[in-house]
Amino acid sequence: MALKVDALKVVQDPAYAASLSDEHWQALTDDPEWNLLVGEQREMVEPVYEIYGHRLGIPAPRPRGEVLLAQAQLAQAQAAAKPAVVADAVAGGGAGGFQVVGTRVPRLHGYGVVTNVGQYTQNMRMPGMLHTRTLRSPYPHAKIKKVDLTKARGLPGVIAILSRDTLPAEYRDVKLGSGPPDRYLFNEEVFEVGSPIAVVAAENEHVADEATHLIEVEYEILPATLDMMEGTLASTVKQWESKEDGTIIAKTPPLVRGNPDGARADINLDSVLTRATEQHMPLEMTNSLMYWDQDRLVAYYTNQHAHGSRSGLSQALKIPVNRVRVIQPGYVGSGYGYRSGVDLAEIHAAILSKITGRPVKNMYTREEDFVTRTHRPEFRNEMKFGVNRDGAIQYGQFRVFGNVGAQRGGAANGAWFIMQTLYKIPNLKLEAIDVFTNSFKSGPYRCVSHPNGTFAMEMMMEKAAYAIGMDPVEFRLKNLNEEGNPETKKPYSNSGVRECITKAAEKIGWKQNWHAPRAKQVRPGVFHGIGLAAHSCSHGGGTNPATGQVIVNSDGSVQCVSGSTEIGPGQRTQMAMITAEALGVSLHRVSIATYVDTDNTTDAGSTSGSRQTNTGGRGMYEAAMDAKRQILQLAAEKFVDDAKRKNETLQVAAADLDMRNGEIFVKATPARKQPLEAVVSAYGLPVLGRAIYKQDNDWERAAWAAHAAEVEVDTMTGSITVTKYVAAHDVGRAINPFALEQQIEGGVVMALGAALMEELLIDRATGLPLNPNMLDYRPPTILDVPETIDVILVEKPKAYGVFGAHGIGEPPMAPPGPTIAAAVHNAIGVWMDSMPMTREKVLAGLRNVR
Amino acid sequence: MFPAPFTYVRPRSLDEALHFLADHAEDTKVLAGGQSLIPLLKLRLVFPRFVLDIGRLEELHGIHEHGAAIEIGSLLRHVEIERSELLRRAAPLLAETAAEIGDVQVRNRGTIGGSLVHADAAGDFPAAALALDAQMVIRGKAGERVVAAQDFFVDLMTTALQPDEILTAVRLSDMRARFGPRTGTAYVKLRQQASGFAIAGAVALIALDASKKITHARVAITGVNGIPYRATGVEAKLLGEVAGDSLITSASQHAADGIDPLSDIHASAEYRRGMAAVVTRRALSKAIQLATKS
Repeated sequence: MALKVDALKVVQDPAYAASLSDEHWQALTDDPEWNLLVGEQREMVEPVYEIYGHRLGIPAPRPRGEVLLAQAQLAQAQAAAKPAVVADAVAGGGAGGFQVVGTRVPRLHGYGVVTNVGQYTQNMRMPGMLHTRTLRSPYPHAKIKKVDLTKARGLPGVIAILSRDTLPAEYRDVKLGSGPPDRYLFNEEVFEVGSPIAVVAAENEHVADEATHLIEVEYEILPATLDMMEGTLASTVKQWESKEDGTIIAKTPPLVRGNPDGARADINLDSVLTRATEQHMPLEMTNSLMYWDQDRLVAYYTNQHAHGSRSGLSQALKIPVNRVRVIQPGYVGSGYGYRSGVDLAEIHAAILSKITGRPVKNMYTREEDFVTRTHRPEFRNEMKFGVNRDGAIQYGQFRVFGNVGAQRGGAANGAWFIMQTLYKIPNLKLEAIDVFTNSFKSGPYRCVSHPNGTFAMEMMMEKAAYAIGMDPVEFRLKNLNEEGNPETKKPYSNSGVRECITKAAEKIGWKQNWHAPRAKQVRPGVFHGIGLAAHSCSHGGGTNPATGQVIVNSDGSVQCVSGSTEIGPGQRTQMAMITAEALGVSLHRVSIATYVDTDNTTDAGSTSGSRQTNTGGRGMYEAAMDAKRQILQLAAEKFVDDAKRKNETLQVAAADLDMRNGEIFVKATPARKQPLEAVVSAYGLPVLGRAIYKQDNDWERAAWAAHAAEVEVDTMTGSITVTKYVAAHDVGRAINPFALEQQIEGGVVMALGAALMEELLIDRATGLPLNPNMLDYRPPTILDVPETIDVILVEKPKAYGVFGAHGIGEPPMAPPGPTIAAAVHNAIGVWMDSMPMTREKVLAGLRNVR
Repeated sequence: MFPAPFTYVRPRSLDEALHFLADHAEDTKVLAGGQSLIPLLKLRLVFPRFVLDIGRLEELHGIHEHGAAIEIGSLLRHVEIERSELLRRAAPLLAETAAEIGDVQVRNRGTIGGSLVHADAAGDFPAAALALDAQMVIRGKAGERVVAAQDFFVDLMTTALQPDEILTAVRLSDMRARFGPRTGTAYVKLRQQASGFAIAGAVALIALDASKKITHARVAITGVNGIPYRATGVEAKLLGEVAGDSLITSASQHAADGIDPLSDIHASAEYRRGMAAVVTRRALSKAIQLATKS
């Protein structure tokens, strides 16, 4: 009979664990509860303790007591003795002569995230705070004939209700974006399900919610266009004055290279490739807390661009930006692009706060978040591709349709970048058509359109390789364009695309594992496959405004003042790292606030477009260099003065000096040095470094990647299981490899959800969303993710990059779709032309090839 | 996502609960683990005047063994069923089914009684109850009555339970005492990836004699039809035959005979029909393997 051991106690109580015999440990290995606990302990709990244990005041418990306690205690004592710092860098400098860049630094916000210390907007409360709830249109296209608020007003606890009738006159002409159709704060004609009809502010959420059920609305239902391709037909009812057919809202002038119509090839491929509507599904839903301080609006708001949100509120409320204060708390349940500005909800809340004179908390439901914010839209790609048997691409004719939802918007032509630049295509025609529909609005979702471009382009590359019988990796390498943009003639800076492809292929074991389709059955009815896809996009290069300030206090401590908005991956940690490296001080000396407050920072651009490393980061870099110049000047004067006092003569100028590890030294005689704090304290005033930097326009700033995967496809159920995943990215220079790896892993997981399961559906009869919740939208959980995602950081420094870095937020989102599709084809010989690649689509595909 | 206002009632005993139901049956919903009722309330798919929380009634909690008869209190949580030594030995199918439900949080809160009474088309326990011939012990103002699982599930989310009644326990027999020493069971389901609900799930119970001939064959399917059902077509093909791969494959083709499968955003009717056969084959294969080993 097996011994009884209390698995939970083993984990929690080191003394109990130490008392166990070998037989007890043996018995534990078969205990499912133990294995569950240990798995969780090793993968989730221990790494957190390792990073933050000393701050949490928790000794790191180890399941087998095999860790030397003395050693652990020593490490804790050392950690506890450290001053309060922005983050605890792993000891030792990074590669390439860097002191801070390249070290693995835990995120500034990590401690607050894993404890309850971090303040999310969602957690904030104010005395007298009101709560809002919005009544929304259940129709995709309708006229609002009448809104009767009588009953709702009568509900005790209801303080104010905003609707088209009750909106103060000064805000009636305020609209968001440009039409057609115009989007005012409340509209007579609504073009989508979820359009706000009335917003209730009440003493608590329950009353506000109840009140929305008491509002009576009379609608005149109008014909809606829900299907994108139906929107392109001349016969489709127009919803505004337009020269285009149906509800087409824009056609981008085509890009033409060579003679695409006349080109001929050995193999001519013709495919239609589609993607479904996706939603970000961030853990934290849209929310804000606002109040008026006399004539100024104060907005705690979970966003991706504090200064951009300030501008949005200022325009809508018709007050100058200096009378709006936006605080982004830095603790954010992620962003993914949909928190880039302000939407109607934030403006409604600000007006309600103004007219009631009370703080207003606005908090979306999950359904509202799913439906009314932005989405990566549905795409349709009509692809004609000509390739010769020797592997030379002859032509491409690619037409992209994007469903922008009920707004003026552009989505389709974003797919062009990879089609235009990744491979040498001598004859090319690119078309893009944006179609308005009465459905989900398109907008940023970890990029908007590049993942579609990558899916479309890489599917054609894969199909072409198989069609001419060439190894798909070799085919890609043969056709790569590593020079620059063929149309603008702007060069790339140090392209790492070839290295991404070869390294990803090597890591997945391409040469050994690639085989003919359907050639490797691993279990009855289950087939193995391997696939790879490359990627390029125009994100990560950085934009304007790149601003920042560095304050060096008279005690030698360094403060970063940055408008760079944190949305999760460690932007503000990297701001501090860049500052420390550029200035020449250790990271422990540098401090940065967790939050952004627009009252005391300058705009560092939106944390979107993978741009913060090279935008806010560029601002901090230049500000640190400005501070350093001043410090070296002060130090030079002090060297001379100090020498004079000792009756020595010393000729030294700022140009002869440098700073490293917080010490200013004479380059020629490094032993002659003085600490930073001595220089600034002698000066008696703080040093302020400032930067308003304008980016050059000399480079085609592109991101490159290649992903590879192994899958198993169950031909009975259609289930695709990803067994191994490799993601290689050209990051230019890894500022913080720790954060980078996590960001890439996270992107892969998100994108696997889109590749295999996620699809926001609409009911064709009513226009209502069918699955705006986590259960039915089917995002992946940790159980759906391959056990390991191997991240390869390819470092090819860029001329325009801060320390050579290139941003990486969005690129991981693009390659997983075509990578999995390629692997599935290799497994079962079926082309998955439509995302998500559901089990039913796999079985349907199998029926066609059999 | 707020429920319509309701009054929360927490009785101190089963009698008190039944007494309350006798007066307010038509506008009361009974709350046990809350895994089905709370979402329904929040979506305002139900809006009762009273929510009667029986979750803390000790008398509905516990497992009792009387010889070969086992009685499971309706408030036993999934996780308790999954970990019960008694059930793992006497009714392993129930423990295996419990382990397949939803996720850890759902298993920690949800109860077997709640799951059976809610009778979701894709619920896990109803199929197991059918295969095991479970008896539902029901209390109402008129006293106690016992309904066989076969008669308990009436229609989509509809059971034989009356609004003024409470399911108090589930009775079943020790598997081997009932079906013989060479009995094996299995539950195989194809999950909706996010919720864990069955797109198609098959419960199989197979008893063999010494010559590997099938003496008992029970197959129950969930997720495919509005209510779980016994796949009698499959059972008929198996009974009296010698267990083997080709027999299983041909028999499982009848898994959805006479059924008009459900269709929703997660799976079409055609897919569910196909998957009923696939999970049936896999469950049978596993059950036979276990029966042969025991």
